[in-house]
Amino acid sequence: MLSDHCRRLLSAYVDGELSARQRKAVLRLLRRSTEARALLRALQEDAQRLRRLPRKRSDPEFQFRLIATFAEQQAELGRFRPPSPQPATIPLWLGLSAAAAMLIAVGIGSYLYFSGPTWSDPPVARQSQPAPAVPAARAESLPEHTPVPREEPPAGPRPAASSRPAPPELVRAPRPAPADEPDPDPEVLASPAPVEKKELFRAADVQLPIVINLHELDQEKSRQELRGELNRGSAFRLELPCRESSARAFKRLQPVLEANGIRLIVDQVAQVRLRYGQFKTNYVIYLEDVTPDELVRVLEQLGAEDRKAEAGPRQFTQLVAASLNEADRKEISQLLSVDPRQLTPRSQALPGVDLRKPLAETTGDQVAQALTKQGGVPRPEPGKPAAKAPERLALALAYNPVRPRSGSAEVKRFLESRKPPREGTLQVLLVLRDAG
Amino acid sequence: MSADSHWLIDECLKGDTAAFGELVRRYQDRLYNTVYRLVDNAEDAQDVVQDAFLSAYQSLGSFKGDSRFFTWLYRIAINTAISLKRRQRAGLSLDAGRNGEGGVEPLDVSESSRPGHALEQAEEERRIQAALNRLSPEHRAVLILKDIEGQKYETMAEILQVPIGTIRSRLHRARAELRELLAREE
Repeated sequence: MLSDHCRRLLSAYVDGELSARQRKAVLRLLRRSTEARALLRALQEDAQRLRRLPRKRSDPEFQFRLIATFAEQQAELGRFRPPSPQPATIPLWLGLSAAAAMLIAVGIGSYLYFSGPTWSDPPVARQSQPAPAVPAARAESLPEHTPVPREEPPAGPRPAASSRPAPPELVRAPRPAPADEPDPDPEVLASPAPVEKKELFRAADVQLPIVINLHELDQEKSRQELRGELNRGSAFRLELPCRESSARAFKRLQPVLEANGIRLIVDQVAQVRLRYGQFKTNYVIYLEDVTPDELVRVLEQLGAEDRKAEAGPRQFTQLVAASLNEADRKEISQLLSVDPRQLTPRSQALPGVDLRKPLAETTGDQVAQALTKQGGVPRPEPGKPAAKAPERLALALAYNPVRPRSGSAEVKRFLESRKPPREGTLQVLLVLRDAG
Repeated sequence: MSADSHWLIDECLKGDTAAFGELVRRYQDRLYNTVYRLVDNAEDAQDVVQDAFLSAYQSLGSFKGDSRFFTWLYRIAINTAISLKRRQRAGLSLDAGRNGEGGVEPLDVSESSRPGHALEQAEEERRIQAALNRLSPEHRAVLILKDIEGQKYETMAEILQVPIGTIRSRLHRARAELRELLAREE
């Protein structure tokens, strides 16, 4: 019969929480005792059965109900009050050291400030009474206007206040010229001393975003401005602040995208947030394979839909368009849980083309032939409407304050369905920001 | 504690509800799984997790950062769950039939699983959960923390605020009890 101590050791052996000495003791026990081996097997099996239990997950809406409950409870308490932080306790020695260091620094700084050799303009008192005669030998060595000791007042009763000499006036003594210095060249004095030319600043290439009123995209001028901006790059971030609610704005955007052949895959977390429209949420829509013209058309239609009276109050105001930068790419890769390199846009230059070589006469024909063999939207013939773009997928995610779960099924579906984008198309990150 | 969690807590202390939402998102699943196994009821588990987060939020100012945030949060949740189970044991339970309902995962109907296998899994889960339910809350807690969550003795001692020796002896007794209960079922 195994002792209680041995049983405890076997239990800890299952957990891998024995010291080396204890492990050796257990191994010795197992070698000699059948009962110990049987018990160990049973304990290990029981542990395995517990480990194999399926993991329970709360439903996706639990988090939002939780936050809503917090908000309600805090509202009952009067205000949504964050927990007050406890005052940080700083060790006494640290505080004293910091104070001592500061005193020393102030002392050294004051000493250097007041006793430095460059202090050459001390204020001096101008004498209001005639100066007494200065010994000749001393006078020769003194520069002009050197302050001299004040004459002692005459002995006797102190003069009345009104007859007292005026207090000395502080004036700056002119700087004495050094004895052997030659007369300075007026031309040299007139111009500042040449400073070694250093490049303190260098021009930075800053690309400012453009801001366009979405509702003015029905005007050709605004569309041209936007098109011009979009033709300058291959990847853009478009911010659309939403007046009332990003959920409503999203529901206005989705049909416009679908009417233009862009089908939205909506991540599950975003779906729930859209359902509970009262939660303030920002959304991102990531899309590729859209030409500048197509994108301008989508945004124009969105502005038109937004303007319509029957659609309800307007949701959009301005559109801010900026080139996608490294931080944006990193963010996209985090949202999609992919390597950022997978999201690098295709270069617009044809592969294998050496730009240094002059164009051959047949280049134009060759390019036209190559393009006709490729997929994509061919140039429409005059008088005929443009050919319809192929159907594309875009991904909609909740962006802030919640993010999609990593490995979400919708993200995977989007990534699996990605096709090589057409030449000249854009990578777009469209952000619906709840400004309501 | 990771710099990231530290930053989130700092933001929570400033009143940033988005940061608190992120903490909830990060930890709710792990917490829920543990609590569910403790209370064996989805609704109770959600209530306990909700209470735990609420208490954690209210007490965030007193969190010193000397332990991991999750360990601290775990402690609050497990204490809340154990208190709930003690209250339920003490009173008459009118909802005895509720235990286990709504908490069993729906049968996996994916192509990769055989229907029979799913039923066996569900039955196995029911059997083990029933045995767990018959243990005391303290014994249940140590088994769940060790065998389901894979925590080390040291972490468990920190969560349950007992010495490591107590963890060892509780685990030993819990396993013996579980062994006996499972043997009776089989």
